[in-house]
This record gives sequence, C-alpha cells and structure tokens, in this order.
Amino acid sequence: MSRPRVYSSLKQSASGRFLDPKALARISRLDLLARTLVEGFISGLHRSPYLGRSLDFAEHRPYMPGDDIRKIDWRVFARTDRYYVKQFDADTNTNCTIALDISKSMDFGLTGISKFDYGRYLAACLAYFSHKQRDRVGLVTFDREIVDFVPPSAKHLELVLQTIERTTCSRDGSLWGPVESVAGSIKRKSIVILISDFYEDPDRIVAAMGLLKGKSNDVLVFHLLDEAEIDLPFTEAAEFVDLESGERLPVVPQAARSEYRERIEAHISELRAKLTEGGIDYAFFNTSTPLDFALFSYLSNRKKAARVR
Amino acid sequence: MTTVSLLNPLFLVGLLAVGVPVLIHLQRLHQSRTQHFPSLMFLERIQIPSRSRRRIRNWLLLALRSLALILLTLAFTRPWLSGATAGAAAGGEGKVVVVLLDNSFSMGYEDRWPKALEYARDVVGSLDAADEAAVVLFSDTATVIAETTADPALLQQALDDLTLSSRTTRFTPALRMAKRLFLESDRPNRELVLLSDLQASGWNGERSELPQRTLFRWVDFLLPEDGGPAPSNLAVASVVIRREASTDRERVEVITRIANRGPRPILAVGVSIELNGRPLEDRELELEADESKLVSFGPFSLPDGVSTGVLRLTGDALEADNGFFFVLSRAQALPVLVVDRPRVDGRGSGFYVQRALALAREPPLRVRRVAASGLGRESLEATAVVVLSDVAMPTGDRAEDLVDFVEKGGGLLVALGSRTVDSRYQALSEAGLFPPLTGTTVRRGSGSAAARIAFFDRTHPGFEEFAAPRSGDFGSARFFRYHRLRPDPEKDQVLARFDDGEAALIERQVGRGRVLIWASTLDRYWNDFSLKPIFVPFVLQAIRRLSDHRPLQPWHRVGDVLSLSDLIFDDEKSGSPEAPEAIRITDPSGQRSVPQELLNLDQAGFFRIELSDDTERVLAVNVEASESDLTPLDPTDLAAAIAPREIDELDPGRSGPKRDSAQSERLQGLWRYLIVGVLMLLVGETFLSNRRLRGGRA
Repeated sequence: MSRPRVYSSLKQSASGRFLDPKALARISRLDLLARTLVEGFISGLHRSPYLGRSLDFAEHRPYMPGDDIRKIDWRVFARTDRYYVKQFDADTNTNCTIALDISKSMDFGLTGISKFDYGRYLAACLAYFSHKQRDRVGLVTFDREIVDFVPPSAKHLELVLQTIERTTCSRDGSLWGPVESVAGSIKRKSIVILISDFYEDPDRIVAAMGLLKGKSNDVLVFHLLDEAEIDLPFTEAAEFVDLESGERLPVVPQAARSEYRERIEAHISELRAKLTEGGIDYAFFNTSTPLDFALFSYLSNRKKAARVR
Repeated sequence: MTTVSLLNPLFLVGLLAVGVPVLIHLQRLHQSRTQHFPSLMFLERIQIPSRSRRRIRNWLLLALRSLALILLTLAFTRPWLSGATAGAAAGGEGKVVVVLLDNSFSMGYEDRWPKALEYARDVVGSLDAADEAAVVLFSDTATVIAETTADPALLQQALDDLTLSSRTTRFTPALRMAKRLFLESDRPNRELVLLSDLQASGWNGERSELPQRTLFRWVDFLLPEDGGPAPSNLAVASVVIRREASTDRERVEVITRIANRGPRPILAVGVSIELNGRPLEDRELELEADESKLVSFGPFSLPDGVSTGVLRLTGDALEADNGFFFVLSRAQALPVLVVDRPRVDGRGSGFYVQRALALAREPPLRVRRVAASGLGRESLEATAVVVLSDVAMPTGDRAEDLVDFVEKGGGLLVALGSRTVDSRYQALSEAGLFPPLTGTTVRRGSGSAAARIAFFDRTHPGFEEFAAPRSGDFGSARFFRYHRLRPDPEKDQVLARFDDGEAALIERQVGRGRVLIWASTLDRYWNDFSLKPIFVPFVLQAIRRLSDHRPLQPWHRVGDVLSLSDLIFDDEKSGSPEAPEAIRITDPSGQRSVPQELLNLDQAGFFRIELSDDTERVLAVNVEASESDLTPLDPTDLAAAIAPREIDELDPGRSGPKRDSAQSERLQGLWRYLIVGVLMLLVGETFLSNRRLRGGRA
C-alpha cells in the first residue's frame, strides 16, 4: 500500500521541536526521513554528538590549525610545550553494525506506529547518523536467524536504507543465534547497535550481548516496546494470541493488568541493570515517544558520559 | 410392563437448554475476542487461573449441579408410570371409594335402576385388599347406607333390598356427603363413583369441591346412547279442580295439562281419571315433542266425605310420574250464628256482618241471624261461630251456655257497642270469657279527630293473609267511639290498637275455643269500618280464625313434612283429643305404622291416617314435576364444578376403569419426589462448594 506523500510532516510539531512518530510514518522515503530527523536534532545540539562511545585513545598527532582545541592534550603541552591533539578510535572510521529485530513480535503497535516501523526509523536514523560521522555502516536483520546482512561500508548507506525499507516481519525470533552470528562476523572492534523488543529471558539476553561485548565492541541496545505492552490497557476479556508462537491465552486484562505491569517493569529494570553492569549501553524507547526526542535524549546522555582522554 | 411416560414432554427441551449456556460459554471461550499480542511471556505467568477455567476442576460439583437441573426439568415433564394399577399409586397405599347411587324416581326409566345396582355391586366387588368403600343412596337428600369399610360383604349387604324413591334429584347433598367420607378416610387416593342419570334439574351449578386426588367417574349406560337427546317422558304438568256448588250437591271438573318432555312425539297417550278407585273417564291423545295439552274430565258429583282421585297416564317408560293423586271433599258449610238487634234503619246491628259473611266461599258459611233472646243452647248446638254484634250480653243460663259453647271449641266474635252493659259484660268477664272493661268509652268524634287503627298484628296466625303487601289498610277506617278494654297479659293477645294505644282487637283462648273482642261496633254507628274494603276480608278471616277452619289440601308433594297435630282435628263432638299412639298411618306402599309428630311424605300416593274413632284422614302426595324432565346435564359441567376436575368415562366392557394420563400422573405424583431430589442435590452442592471455597482460601 503506498504511503501518502506528506509535505507538512517535515515541519516540526506545534508542541515542540520533535517529530511525532506518526508523522514520521507518513514520510515515504526512509532516507529522507532519516536525514530529516537526524539533521533536525543535530541542529538543536550545541555540538554534534558522536555515536561512538568508545573513545579509546589511539595516538597523538601535532596540532594543525583548524583542529578542535578541545582535543589538545594539555598534559603533553605541559611536558613538551608543544601542541598535540588526541586521536581516538572514533576518528578512524569505525564499523557500525545495526542489528534490527524483524521477528513477528516487532510487528505490533497500538499507538499508530508499530515497533517494527519505529525500529526501522531508528535504524535508518542511526545508519544515517553513523554515516554522517564517516563511520562504515552495516545492517543485520534477524528473526530466528540472520535474514539480511549488509557489511559495514562507507558506501553502504543507501543499501542499508533500502534493506531496512524492504524488510518485513514474518517469523518468530530468537536472539541468541543471530547475535552469535553477528559476533562471529565482526572482525574488528565495532559499534553494534541492537534494536529489539527483547522478549526473552534477561539472562539469556545479557549472555547474548556478552558475545558481542566480549569482542570489545561498543554495544548499544535499544529496547522497543509499544505503550500497550507496558500498560496492558485492554478492557475486554479476550483471547490473546502470541504473534510469534500463535499460542492462545484467555486473558481478563483488568485482573492481570497490575501484575503484568509489575512484571514488564521488572523485566525492563533487570535488563537495564544487567546490561549496564555488563558495560552495554541500554536505552528503552516507548514507541509513543517522538523518535527524534528519544534519540536526542539518548545521545545527549551518552555524550555526557563520554570521557576524553 | 411398567413404562415411564411424560405428561409434558415438551419440557425436555428445557433439558437441552440446560446445556446450551454451558456450550455457549465454552464456545465463547473458544471463540472469544482475539487480541494479538507480541508475546505471552509475561501473561502466561499471570493467567494460569484463566487458562484453567477452561478445564473442569471439580467433576463432583458439576455432576451435582447437572443432576439437579436434570431432575428439575424432569419434574416439569410430569412423569408417570403407565401400567401401574389403580390401587398401586404412590406405593400401593389403597384408595377409598365412595359410590353415590341415585335412587330418585327418574332412575326408574327403563332398566336404569337395576343396571346401576349391578354396577355398584361390581365396584364393590372390584376393590383391592387395601381399599375401602362407602355407599351413599341419594335423591334430594343423601343417606349413607354403608359407612366406609374394607369389608366387601358389608357393602354388598347394604346394596340388598334397595328400592327407588319417589323423590327428586339433587347432587349437592350427595357430593357433600362424599366429601365428608373422603376426609374421614386415611386413604390418600380417592375415587368417586357417581351412578346416576345425571339429570340437569338436579344440579344448580353450585360448586362443591372434592378433596385433592379424587378420581371422578361416571357411567355412560345411564345416559342417552351416544350422547343423544334425552328420552321422551309424559307427566301431569298441572291440575285444576273447578267446583260447582248447588243447593243439594256439588260437582267438580278436573282439568289437567299433560306434557311430553322430550324430543320425540308420543303418539298414543292414554289419560284416565279414577274416583275412589272407580274409573270415570279416559281419553287418548297425541303429543308432539315438547308439547302439552289440556284434558278436562267431568263435571261429576262428589259423594259425601273425602274422595280420592287419580289421574293416570300411559305411553311412556317412566311409571313413577304417570299417576297424579288428589283428594276432594264436598264443601261443608260452616254454621255461623249472628246475634244482633234491630236498629231504627231496619238493618240491625249485624247487617254488615251478615252481608260480609254472605260473600264467603272457602269455607262456605251457613249464616243464621237471631236476636239476643234467641241465643241459647239449642241455637248454639249447630253453630261453629257466634257473632255478638252490639247486643246485650246474655245472662243466666244463656250466659252459661255461651261460656260452655266457647270452652268446648266454639268461636265467639264480640263487637262492643252501646248495648254493652257493664254488669252483664262484667259477669261474662268474670267467667273468663272476656277481658274486663274500664267502664269508659272513648269518644273521638268524626272527621280528623276520629281514631284510627294504628297497629294490626298481621303476623298473627289466622291473619297472615294480611301480611302480604297491599293486602288491606286498617288505618283507613275512622273510629268515632270505642270501649276501653283492660287486656290481661296472661290471657289476652292484643291484635290491634287504636292510635291512642287502646286495644282495638283482643284474642283470648277460652278452653278449646277462642274469643275475638272488637272494641267498637261492626256497623256504621261508632265507626265507618264496615264501609272500608278491609271490612269483608277481616270479618271472613275472623270467622275462619274462630272456627279453626283448615281446608282440605287436595295434594302434597313428595318431600313435604307435615305436623301431625296440624293434620289431626280435635273432634269436638267426641270431646277428646286424639292421642298419637292411637293413630295409625298407612303409606302408599301399604306399610302401616305409628306416626311421629312430623310426618315425612316420602312416597307418591295416598297416606291414610286412621283415627281412634275409625275415621280417616287421607293425604294425596305427588312427585315433583321437575323430576319428569329426563334431560341430562353435561358431565363435564358437573366435573368442572368439583375439584379435582378429572373426568373418566367408564367402559362397561372392561373390568376396571379407564383412566387418562393426567389422572394417573396426578395420583402418582412422581414430580414431588423429583423436586425433593433437586432440593437434596442443591443442599449437597452448597455444602460441597462451600467446603471447597474454604479449602481454597486456606
């Protein structure tokens, strides 16, 4: 079904500078969407953030006019009276692999945009953002196994976006296998961004992430959930059908809501705690939250946490 | 073989409906609204109870509840066991049978009575060992001829020697009797067997509810075949006797209306008349359906004394109403002696009385008029009533003769006027004949000052004729003058008063005779009473009262009850009253007996009362004409008026009664046991579910 061409969607919402995800959904071209969104929130930042967090010091080089004076290593100057700038790994064109969960559970959304679309937009934005920072962008789509693989490359942005655009949700998913495959395919230290709804045991998720982290990758996890998955707002008793397994369960939402919320909150908290403890950056995105806002908030926080050596 | 049948099988649909909600519930669970959800990972951990709702956890509770619903539904279907015997309902506790046997005279039509007797014997003979029965013989009254007993021999014995009566049919007393017998019995099952031709005239539509669980049975062989029209029946509908009196003899004409009560013509109707057992005349006529004709016999002369007459009919099958009995006697003129005095107008003080007496017809009067000097023993000998109309009271021997006359049963009417001399009157008053005078007369004058009769005891025996409305206005007469009497409360009865309260008419019993004292005259001198319309009937009635005249009733009806003392006249010539033990009564069947004080005329024909002096009184008794109409009522109407309302038509060819499903079911009452079962199951279910709930909470 063709999406209507929207012109006003490029304007910022009246409530603020961030774009309503539903409005984003009306943008037909993903590249345009990504560019619009990324450049939109970058323009609001004092400085452009860097996706990579892993600012491992690589080497010094002499200061050249035009370099960012914030990178001058003042200790070296104190010792040498010469101006040297720090050079980090990020400056050396990092591989950025975006792993997008396209299992059936992602194709759910009651707030106007499904997690899958939200995830696609997020993946597209991150790909564009990474590319804009001269990183080599790659893509992995997976459900119970790797579906699409675009190796990281500076020339693969269009391919990544196209792949994101054409991908669909059709099968059940499993994290371990695809993550293990991704981990095996990464030869050098990379940024690995995992976008999923993480309907698995937290320990298993952490273990899977550990496969990636174990190779000194900078692992970012974006946990996507629809608001309905958090609140269970349903009022009528119904037979709930698992999107992936097809299993049916009669549910009286009023009776289950309280405990369900507790459990989902506990799951999110456990994931956050364990992943963070494992050095994995965890971000929870509610799909009702404007994507650019969510991304902006995340990157701002990430930037603050960065250390310059 | 006993099988289970259902009176209301449609309720079984309810049994299916019991399962429908369960099925719908399960189906709705299965086809409930669907909500796709990314993962049931967290819901599964919560919704274990909802999943398990789809599974039956407590089979015992389900069984109890299901069984309760099933039993309840079955109770509504009203099951009954077909093939159970009549006496085996609800555990074989036996039954009480009340046989109502109609012996009204209409049952004498053709062979109804012997058939009914035979069937009554069959009913008694078919009783089970646990059964008991009673037999009630009824017509217009009901008599228990066999109290409730389980001994068939006693019941059979009670049916021996039963005969038809001459009485009419009334069902209500019999049904009430049956109800009493049912309630006195401890048998839970009841049967009412009505052996009757179900005459419509015997039912007034009155409801007479029988106890519950009473099976009502009637027989069809006592009714017209195939529900057809009632049989035709002849009857004497009415009889009129016309008298022609001449100087030396009396002739009577008997006019009768003969009716054919039925839907078929009767082509050869014979009507004859007998007098004193001797046939006089006969006629033949034809009567169409529901037609009546007048037939006249005579005139013929009546012999002296009382004559018995019979009208007889031939041409139908019910003999009981084919005879009509009556008695006749030559009218005996009552001798009346009027004692008066001449007046200046030549009419005499007794003129108006005599003119009134001349109009008498029943009884006829033989009036003699004498002066006061002519009053004596000789003149009193052949007199029944003496009228002293404003004359001087007799004295000496004549006074004694007069007192003796009254004491021996004579009647005396005294009209007080100007000739009433205190001393002579006083002497007779002292002899007990009259109440004393005060010695003064009341002068009220004429016109509006005149006195009027303000009170007259119209209920007094002898003057009941004036009790009917518009039977006479005593207040219309004006009284200018009258004597003031002093009635003795113990001896005198004041029958009339003037408007000032003074007694106008007093009656006194003297020996076996009576005296009526009129406080004024019976002519125009002291009042204008004699000019009023009430005067003649008053005088005639007064004479009848004083003479104690009792006209001979030509006939009575079966069922009438008479007082013997009213029937027997004291014979004043013999001078002694009849002693009851000296009297004999012969009824129409020829049975002779000593009568009781109340004589029950229970047969049609002649009752002959023999007195001690070998004289005889004869009473003619006839059946009620209404019983001659043999039209039966619809048994369903009768059944509808008694509860429970079952009707069962007996098949004479079977050994036992045929009973419909509703009756069988009602007798067995299995639904009650099912309801008890439901209640017990629900109690158990409640106990079990509460126990489970407590266990779940613990």
